[in-house]
Amino acid sequence: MSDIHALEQEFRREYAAGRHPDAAAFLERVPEEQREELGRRIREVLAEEPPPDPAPETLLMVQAMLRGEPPLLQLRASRGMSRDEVVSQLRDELDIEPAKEQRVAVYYHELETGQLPLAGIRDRVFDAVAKVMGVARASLMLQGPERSADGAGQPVFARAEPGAEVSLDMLAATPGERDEVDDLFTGGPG
Amino acid sequence: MRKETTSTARLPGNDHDLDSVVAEYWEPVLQWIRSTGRVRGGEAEEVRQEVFLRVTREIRSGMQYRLPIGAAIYRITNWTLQGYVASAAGRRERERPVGDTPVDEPVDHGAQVAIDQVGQDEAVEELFRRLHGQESRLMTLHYLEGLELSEVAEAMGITANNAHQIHHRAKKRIHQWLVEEAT
Repeated sequence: MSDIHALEQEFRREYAAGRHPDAAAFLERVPEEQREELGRRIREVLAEEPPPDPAPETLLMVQAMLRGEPPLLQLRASRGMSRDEVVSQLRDELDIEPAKEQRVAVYYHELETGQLPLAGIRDRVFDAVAKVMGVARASLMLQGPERSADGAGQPVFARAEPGAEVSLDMLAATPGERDEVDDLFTGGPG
Repeated sequence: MRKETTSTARLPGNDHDLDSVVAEYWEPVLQWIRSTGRVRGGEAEEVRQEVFLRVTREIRSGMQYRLPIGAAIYRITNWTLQGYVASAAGRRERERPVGDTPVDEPVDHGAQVAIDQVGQDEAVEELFRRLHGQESRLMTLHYLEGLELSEVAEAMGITANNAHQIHHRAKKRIHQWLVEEAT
């Protein structure tokens, strides 16, 4: 139990200092039977402590989202990065072979334009996108299709960066077995 | 010590205020969701998106939250998470081959409906009813009747300082309940 108290205090310090502690990573540090209690204490911290001042990038993404524009696209534009640069760095971060870069590009396009269901994206992808974009993972604003009542996705955003059109047929151009790229972007949580 | 957050009851509902609310709580809400251990990875992102789609829609439509904005957002997060988990369980159940339903995995098909039917006013009133004496009266006058704290103090025959202390204690108690509700 003392470990839980120490972890709670550590989370509080990190959170108050704006260092973006990850609640799930904290839960991983205690045995399973203690996770519920630690989670409850983390929520106490979140309820008690004032939210950290948002980073300028977060505000930028929020404003884009509220205008109905893809937040990730806005963030990339503010970084002055081309989509190809991002895709190339993302492929590196995800340790995917160069020959599959075009497939990463297709998935990234879907991610950036809010067409890719968030629930299917692996943790590694969120981490990699955040790193490439230079923001904290928790601050990253990715917009997935809004789920309808029956759980089926409907695209929220239709607008993409002019001149950045990607043929979605490229996904169909690689029929056959699912590979690591499919798994990273659509393989499910975790 | 929690800073005094602005209630949307005092927000004019324009996007400038909305920007600040969403940006401030964007990260805390993800941590709140991840601290429950009930969803992972992209699922947590999906829940966060649903929370803020709802918050955005409600604030733009002029919704008058009866709780401080942080408490209201965490409460919406709890509801959204419960609905998401129930919905995911329902999806898994529908996708399961006929005759393959394990007896040890309860599926709560009704949870989403129940959550949607929870009226916000009723939920807040219920929270305030659970508070004791002065705390209950103060929160009711402040959030449901719309009186400023100084006016509440006058109505209750207490000092403004005392009103602030009672207000703080009541908020802390409500936050505690919201934390427990999520587990």
